[in-house]
Amino acid sequence: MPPVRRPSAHPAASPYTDGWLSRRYRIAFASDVGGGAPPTNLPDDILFGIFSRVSGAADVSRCAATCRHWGRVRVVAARAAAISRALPPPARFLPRLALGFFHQQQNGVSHSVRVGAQLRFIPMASTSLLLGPSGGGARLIHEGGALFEHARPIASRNGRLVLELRREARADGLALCVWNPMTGDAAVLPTLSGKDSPGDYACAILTGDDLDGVPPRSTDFFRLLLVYNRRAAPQHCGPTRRTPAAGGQKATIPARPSWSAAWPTFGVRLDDGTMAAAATMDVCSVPYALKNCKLDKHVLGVSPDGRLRFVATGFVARRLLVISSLISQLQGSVHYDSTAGDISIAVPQIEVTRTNWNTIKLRWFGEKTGTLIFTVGETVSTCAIFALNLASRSLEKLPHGVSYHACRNLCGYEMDRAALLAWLAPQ
Amino acid sequence: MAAADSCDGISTSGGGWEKTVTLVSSDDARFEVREAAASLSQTVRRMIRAGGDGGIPLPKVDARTLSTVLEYCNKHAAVPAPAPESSSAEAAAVDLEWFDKELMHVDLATLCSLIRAADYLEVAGLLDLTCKTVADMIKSKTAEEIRQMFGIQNDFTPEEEEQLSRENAGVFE
Repeated sequence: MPPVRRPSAHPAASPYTDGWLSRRYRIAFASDVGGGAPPTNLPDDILFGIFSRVSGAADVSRCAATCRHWGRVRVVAARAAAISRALPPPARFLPRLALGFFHQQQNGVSHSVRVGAQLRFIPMASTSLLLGPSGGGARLIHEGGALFEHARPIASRNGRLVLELRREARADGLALCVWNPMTGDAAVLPTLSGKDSPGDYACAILTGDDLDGVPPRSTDFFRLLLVYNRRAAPQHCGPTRRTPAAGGQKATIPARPSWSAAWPTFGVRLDDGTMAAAATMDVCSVPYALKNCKLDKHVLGVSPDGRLRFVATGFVARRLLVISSLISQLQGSVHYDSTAGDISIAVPQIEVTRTNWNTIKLRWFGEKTGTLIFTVGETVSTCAIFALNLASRSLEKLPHGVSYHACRNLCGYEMDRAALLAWLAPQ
Repeated sequence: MAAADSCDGISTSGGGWEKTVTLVSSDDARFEVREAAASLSQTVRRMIRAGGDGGIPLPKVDARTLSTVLEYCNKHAAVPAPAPESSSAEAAAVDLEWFDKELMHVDLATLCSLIRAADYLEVAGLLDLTCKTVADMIKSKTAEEIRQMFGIQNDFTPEEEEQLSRENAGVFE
């Protein structure tokens, strides 16, 4: 029987339309809004035209800081997504866009049952200053209500978080939700059930930022790529046991997520922003220099310069932990050519021992901020979560109280550029 | 090309017959221009189609600005479309670029009125050129410098302003 497909949910239909951005406006700039005529005699549409042609987000945010009218709801904040798309891609990591991570907190009883596990947000130190001392995340999730109860974070990129909604039994199928915590937009996707219901699966999300040339039809554009064993057709794509890192390759190909399974890595070429049928997907293998690198010891992502980045961990002199990044350049449309590493960071704060080496696991890589989240330890008492920034080389130990099992369901979160512009634009 | 048209043009110019139209600025100055040049403005093109005599009124553009807009239109409409990759095409492109650059050598007030005119007249190329020019002027300027450029009044409290500049510096370093 063919699966029943409901029409795709629209963000407006979500029960929750609030986000960190609106909270910021209420808290930080609650003072009176200076009225009066616009201070400049250029209409909003023309200001938008100018802001879309500046050299980068830094220029836009300085313009937004000139007066309320330019910055506020009228120009920069109101059209942040469109301005962001029009600007050239950022050339480097912006570490401050990293906010923290989402994970699923176990309530103790059984680790194998997901029911009872709560979605939580753990902010980074810098984020606590921005979002308020309580982190804001708890309230944010609380206001999400029943939708986010027992939701499990699956993937996170470009300011969107993919959540697996409560799943009581495998037979029920899979319901995914794409949530932008900054704006509060949440889109619940049609449930995958019947023979389309995945068992183990891997998921990657692409957004408008990943499209080359073809502008997305709406600012809410996203696309999910799921890899799973289709029950009726076992010859389909092989499963990967872990959430892949995905990235749009902005070279000759519009969007190209890629990830690594145990050894083989493959990329998928998506033709353009239109919803192409699965049959048109072009899958190719992605060769790497570090072919023997274990699954937990590396992550993949596309850095702001558009290059595929392979972040791996190792140790030197028996005990010094080193995180290094290799860059790959897409050659033609067929294969990636791995090149030499450009970043290598020693982490003397963490001593590698014979027992803990196997427990050091890279969990998530933030492509816009260069933030790597990794964990050390495997028991409740010893598991520690760290955030290392490849650009600033700063290491931050994130708050305790997260069990190892929760770490498996851990997704970092960083703002996308549109949210950043709206964030920096004063009310 | 225009020679094949029915000759109901107002006057002739150059070697062949070419239709012209008369544009009237807000301060009643009259400009007679080739229709091909005037048609770079989508607004004028629509008005030509709608018909009417006694010139096309453009109440939102003054004479000084309109003359600059028409200078742009005349130059850009005059360029024929020769075979691509020929040396003359390349030379024409370079010449046009040079012309655009020279045209943008004006103060910000003039530039702003040009932008408004290009927006009203819907001259896409000129709108892009002027917006890009202003965007380049903004580049790397501080918020205070931008305020001075545009004569914007700072309506933030000192605390808000401090927070804004701190956040900006924090994010972009």
